[in-house]
Amino acid sequence: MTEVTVGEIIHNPDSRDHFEVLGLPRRLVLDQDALSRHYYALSRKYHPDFHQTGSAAERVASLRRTAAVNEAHKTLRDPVARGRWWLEFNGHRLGTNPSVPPDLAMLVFEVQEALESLRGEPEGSGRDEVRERRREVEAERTARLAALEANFGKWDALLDGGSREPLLDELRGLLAEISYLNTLLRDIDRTAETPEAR
Amino acid sequence: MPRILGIDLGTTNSLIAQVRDGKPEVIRDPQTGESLLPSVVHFAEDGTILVGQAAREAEVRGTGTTVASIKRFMGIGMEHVNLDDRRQFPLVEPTEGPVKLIINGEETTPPQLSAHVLRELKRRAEAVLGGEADQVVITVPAYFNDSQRQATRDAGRLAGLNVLRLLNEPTAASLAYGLDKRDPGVIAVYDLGGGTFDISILKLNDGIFEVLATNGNTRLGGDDFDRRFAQWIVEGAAKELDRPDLLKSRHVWALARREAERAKIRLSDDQETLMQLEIPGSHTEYRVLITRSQYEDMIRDIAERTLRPCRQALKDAGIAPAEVDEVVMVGGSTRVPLVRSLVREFFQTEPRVGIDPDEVVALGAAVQADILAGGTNDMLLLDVVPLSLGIETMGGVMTRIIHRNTTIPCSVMEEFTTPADNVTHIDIHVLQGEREFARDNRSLARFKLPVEPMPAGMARVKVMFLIDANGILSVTAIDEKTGREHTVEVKPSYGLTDEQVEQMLIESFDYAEQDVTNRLLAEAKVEAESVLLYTGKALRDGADLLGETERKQIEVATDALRNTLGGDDRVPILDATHALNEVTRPLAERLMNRSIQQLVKDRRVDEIAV
Repeated sequence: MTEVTVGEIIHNPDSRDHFEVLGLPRRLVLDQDALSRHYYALSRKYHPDFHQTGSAAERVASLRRTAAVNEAHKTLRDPVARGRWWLEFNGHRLGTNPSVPPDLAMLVFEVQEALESLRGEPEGSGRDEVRERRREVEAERTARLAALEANFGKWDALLDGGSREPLLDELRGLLAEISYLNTLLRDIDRTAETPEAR
Repeated sequence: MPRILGIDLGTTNSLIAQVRDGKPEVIRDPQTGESLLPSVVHFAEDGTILVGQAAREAEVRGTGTTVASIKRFMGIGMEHVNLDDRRQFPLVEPTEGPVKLIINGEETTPPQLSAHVLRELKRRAEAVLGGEADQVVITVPAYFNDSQRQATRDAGRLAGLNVLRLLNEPTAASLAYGLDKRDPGVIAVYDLGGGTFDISILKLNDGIFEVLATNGNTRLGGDDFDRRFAQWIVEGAAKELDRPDLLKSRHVWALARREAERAKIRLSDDQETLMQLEIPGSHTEYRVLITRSQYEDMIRDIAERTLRPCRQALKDAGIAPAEVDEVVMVGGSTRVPLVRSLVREFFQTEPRVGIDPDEVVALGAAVQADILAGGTNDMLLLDVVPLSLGIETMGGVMTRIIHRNTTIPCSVMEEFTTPADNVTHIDIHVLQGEREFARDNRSLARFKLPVEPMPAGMARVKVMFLIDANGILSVTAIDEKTGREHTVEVKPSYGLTDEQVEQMLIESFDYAEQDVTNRLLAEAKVEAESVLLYTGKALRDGADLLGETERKQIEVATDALRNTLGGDDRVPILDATHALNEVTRPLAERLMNRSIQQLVKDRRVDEIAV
């Protein structure tokens, strides 16, 4: 594992750890400014546009490293992507479990009903109902995104030897629920936009 | 420092530019001073090939074959071609496979046709700058998929160019605009060209141009305005003159499209204009007056189709319309007043139109070329892949492996296994698009991964999909045992293989390509013939508007021009053409005024028979 110095940044372009790739401290509660700064600085260093006149080996390395830097940036920039990656990095998978999270069962049922009535009566009052449900779904998601940030904070506060299991469980649960809510929102938008529903 | 130039290979016009003394400049035609080269190629019956303005003029004479807007056909299949396309272009019969055209009895492909335009630009640059001009950056619509990008690169190769980078047009435009702006901000680039529409949302910060999202439509542009308008003209003419046969004449459509384009331009400044359609083979004309308001009603639904990609791009970028600091308009079609007002309303901002919308992309390409050459190092573009990339999996579904708007270069590692016992290879079908099923997305390519015969599910092949800075995919298979990598040969669904390109290059050396002198002479003669034709008509139509002296002057100038046409020197032809134009100008103005007066007076279609 070789470290490379780029200006003030010390990083490891070949690491599996996205924080190391970008030369950032491993803090899940992310400093967005530092993220941008490191990303831009490393892009300037490795981007193929600045290695056009180099050797074939240099160009290949530039391509691969830029891809790695881009991947790290994309993953860490978005809290949900960051959480998912962190889960996998710690040896766990989210799984493709489609079952409804118990807390959301009631809301899901109401959404399905609203979408059904909208499909059946595209010109009726169903549209307002759907809009209202959508707001509720978004509110639930916003709450969980806040909880996700809190979970990140707990990771950062974790001392060596502290128990990771409860944090991993909490993380997995939150990510599953957020994923479910995203799918729900997508379904609402898709249905509400179709010609039948207009 | 190597010389690298920037090329805008547009649907309607193409340009070549370079950075000189830190400033990007378009390289102009040394004879005419024109910056635009019409992306038009004309094949005369005797085998002569004309490119550019001369080709455009040859088109309205109705002989030979003229191809324009080739960009519409780059990297797509015959199944994506529509009725309008078949009406306008000599496309081959089959409804499958890569697009091909038949010209003078031979099959040719869009990359070969585009190569004629690129070759012309190369010649222009070499004539002006001296030496070789073979290293270039070529722009493509941001929404072009992998096939369309490959086709552009192939066209470059066929023209003898080393294409170092394909650059997205909106991003290029932002580079040209961003030169004097160092304030951080969010900009939207609205690029409506002849045949393609792109919208890109970028974040500018300290010389870094980061694309947040891009969207568009590669089959939507000013050409669609012109086709709609042309249809209105031809249908009107067919009805008024009781000539339903006009609807089937390719020549008539070409004339109508030309008039539609010109009238569109006039209506950008005027509130109404007179349309004139010459009916070939007769001395009749169809004339009609149209107002800007009528024109806008005619094209409104087409223009509004640009708003949906705008909405989606903003959504993908996570930006609200109000957060956009600047809107940049690119492409000749953004001069249409309706388009400007739609954009103003959508983004709630006055769009920026400072740099010539026809030139801004080429200027940006020149800046990118300069970056690659090492001339500029304080600006960097971080662009994205416009469409999700995926593979076909069980049930005909497309499984996404790279999401749209992912910053490029990017790479993803996938593992594949065998679906049945003892198969010797795994078939992979690569697609691009956002739909759920493979059949609704664009097929890009297929490839096979050889495996050792084993029970189903036991073999494992690791594949790396890499999208480079051009937005083009390459595939590498990794042997898990040895860790060795080898590039996978990918067979394009709608493109040319390397062998095919090489074969075409060999054949083009055998081409009896006109050398420069002959070509310029041919162009001058075509222009002269056009002017003679028009003059003859004007003398007939305006017989009562002419005095004896003026008529004599025109006749003398006409004879003088005719006399130069037999020679091999184009300078006297050009001079005599210019002289004839000058001497007929007053007559032309009188004819125009008379027509408008007559039409405004009784609002009926006028027929002038001789």
